[in-house]
Amino acid sequence: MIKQKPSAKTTLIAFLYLSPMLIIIGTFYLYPIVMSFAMSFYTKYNFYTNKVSEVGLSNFVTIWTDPDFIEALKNTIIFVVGVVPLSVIIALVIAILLNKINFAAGFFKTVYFLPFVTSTVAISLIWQWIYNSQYGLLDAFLGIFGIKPIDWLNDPHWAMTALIIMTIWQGLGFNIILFLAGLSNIDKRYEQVAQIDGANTWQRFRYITIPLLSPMTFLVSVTSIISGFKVFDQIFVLFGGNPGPGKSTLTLVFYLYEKFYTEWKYGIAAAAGVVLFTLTLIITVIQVWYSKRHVHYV
Amino acid sequence: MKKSRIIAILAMISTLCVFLTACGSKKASTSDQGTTKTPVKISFWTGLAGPYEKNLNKVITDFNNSQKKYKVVATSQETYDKLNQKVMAAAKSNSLPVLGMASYTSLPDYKNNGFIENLNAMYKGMSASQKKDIYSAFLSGSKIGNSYYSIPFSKSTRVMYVNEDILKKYNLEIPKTWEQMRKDGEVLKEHGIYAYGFDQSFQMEWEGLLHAAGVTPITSAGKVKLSSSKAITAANFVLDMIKDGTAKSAGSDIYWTNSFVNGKSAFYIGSSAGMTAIKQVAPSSLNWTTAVVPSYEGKSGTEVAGNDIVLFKGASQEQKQGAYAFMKYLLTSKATTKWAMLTGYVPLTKSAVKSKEYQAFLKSNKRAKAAVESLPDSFSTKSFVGYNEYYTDELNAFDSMLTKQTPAKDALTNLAKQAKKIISDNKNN
Repeated sequence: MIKQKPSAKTTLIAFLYLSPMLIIIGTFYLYPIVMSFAMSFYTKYNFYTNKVSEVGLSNFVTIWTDPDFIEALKNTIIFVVGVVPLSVIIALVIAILLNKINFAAGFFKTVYFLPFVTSTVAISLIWQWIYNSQYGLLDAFLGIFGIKPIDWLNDPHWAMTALIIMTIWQGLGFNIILFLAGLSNIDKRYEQVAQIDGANTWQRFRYITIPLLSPMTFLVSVTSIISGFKVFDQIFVLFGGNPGPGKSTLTLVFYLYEKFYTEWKYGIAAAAGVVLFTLTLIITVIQVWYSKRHVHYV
Repeated sequence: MKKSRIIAILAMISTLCVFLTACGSKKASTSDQGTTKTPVKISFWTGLAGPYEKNLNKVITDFNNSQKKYKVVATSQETYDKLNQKVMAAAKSNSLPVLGMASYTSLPDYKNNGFIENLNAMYKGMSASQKKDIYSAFLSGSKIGNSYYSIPFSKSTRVMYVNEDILKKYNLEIPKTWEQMRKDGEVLKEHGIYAYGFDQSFQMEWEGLLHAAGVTPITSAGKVKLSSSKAITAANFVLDMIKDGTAKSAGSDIYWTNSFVNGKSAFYIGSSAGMTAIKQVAPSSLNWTTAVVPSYEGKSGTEVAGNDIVLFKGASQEQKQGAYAFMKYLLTSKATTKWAMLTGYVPLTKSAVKSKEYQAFLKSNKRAKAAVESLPDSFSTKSFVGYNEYYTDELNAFDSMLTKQTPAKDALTNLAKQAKKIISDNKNN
């Protein structure tokens, strides 16, 4: 079957097999993407009657001159830079430790994975309590070391840090599982050979584990960056539907949400979506380009 | 092999057909109109959940049992945010229900986008005394220009919750004026207690202060007075209390409820609808009551909040008649009294407040009194096309004063600029 030459008939059959998925992707992904692109250029537009009276670039001019959008862009970048490297490093360290132990490894894996399968809303509500400046666990814990209570959720200087900590914690389990899968794929013989050659633990980690784990590190960082750019739910719940004190956690998707659902500025929301799409695309392309040089597939 | 391939292809084609039929099938008719026996279905989307939804269904059942022509069927969208999003999606796909709940401040936007019908025909069917019976603050919120676009429904006012234990301990009385509350704060602050606790923002109280001071922040003619000296003074009054340590925002807790029941403040000004939440969390040992919001510059003013009911476009003539009948029913003394007693929202009409039933209810529920006593001095804020956008800006301005310590003058001057732009942009469109 695989060796069969493609013909009109086989192509049609293949298409039929693929059609349910193609229809779903076309309806729920491609069509909205194309429509959003188009909508971002509608400057005078009735969303409900689909009547476009004017087309132009003014939506893009508006967002780039809107201090809120710039703030959202800046916050999103801070968020991604704050979350991705730390979550990759912590997940890697924990995965390596879990890989080394046999006792209760399954239990720990479950514990670390639990936050990932718990709803973001539930997690955010719990962290709201943890961060509470009057009754919160975190401030009580810091108080043991003589650190004064921090108003995590109401102080514009700390709100982003609070969000980053919670997001890292939430995503850790998934990244750990991915790294564990990557680690189990590394042939033990490489390590044994290196050991015979006299390589110490650090050298084995640096020259065997890290390079051979690079495809997984690449995958984890790509997915973390993309989900980082899309951050919204955590903020919405953690700060009670607001973009944080003094807009300190206003991100691109939050900006888009506000423009669309609260302010009914559909063209501007679409333009913000296009910018977000382009940004994610550029970063992913750069990552793919980088991975071709530095990621080692065995 | 061949046979199985044919079966596979046939299976795929049939799956596809089912999928396409499901996607393309026309929505089932929302009404069972036309026949004489089955009542006309009036679909009604609400943002109420839990006990509120249950109680609403009780009132709806009363209406449905009171006649045979119409049947109101409520669907809860759980929250008002979800309801608004659903309305937006339904408006886009031409599948709006007959009736829906909506904040009165969204009426101009709804009207401007062609979502809602005016209700002049229904109001015309009411006598002058019936209309006069409805509190003017509610009715003015239902109007755009000279036309009516909604009926008031789940309405609340601002009230002051009072921790009686604190008052007793420090020998204080319920303050009648904001000045008095501030003075009480000086006494309480030494004991680590705030005088005035408020929800995340004090924007509604600020509007109340402005109303008392005779300032309409944005007039119906579109004149913006947000940064007038009186507006700045009113904002500074509260900001100074915060600086003094006599007032405090709930911040990310959103509501001051928990702090109030934990004795963090002697007074809490919030929505009268929040009483249910306070009752739920207050320890039985706590003695608390409610009072009318203190006066400012010799006058009182509390802003009305809550939701109205609108008639969406696209309803058949029969459905419209049914919707009118249901809305009129909700405004009857009997229905509004029952609704108010079940939920804690305020009655919509003066006659309902005076009714024996409600007066008896007030006797056994003394805490419900303050909300009703606030009604004569209550007011609806003036809304306009683009109000939702303005409201976001307004909340941001107050957030900036509270969390970034932006001076009231700067925040309000900026807000005034934003408001002017929103109003002029929408005029040009």
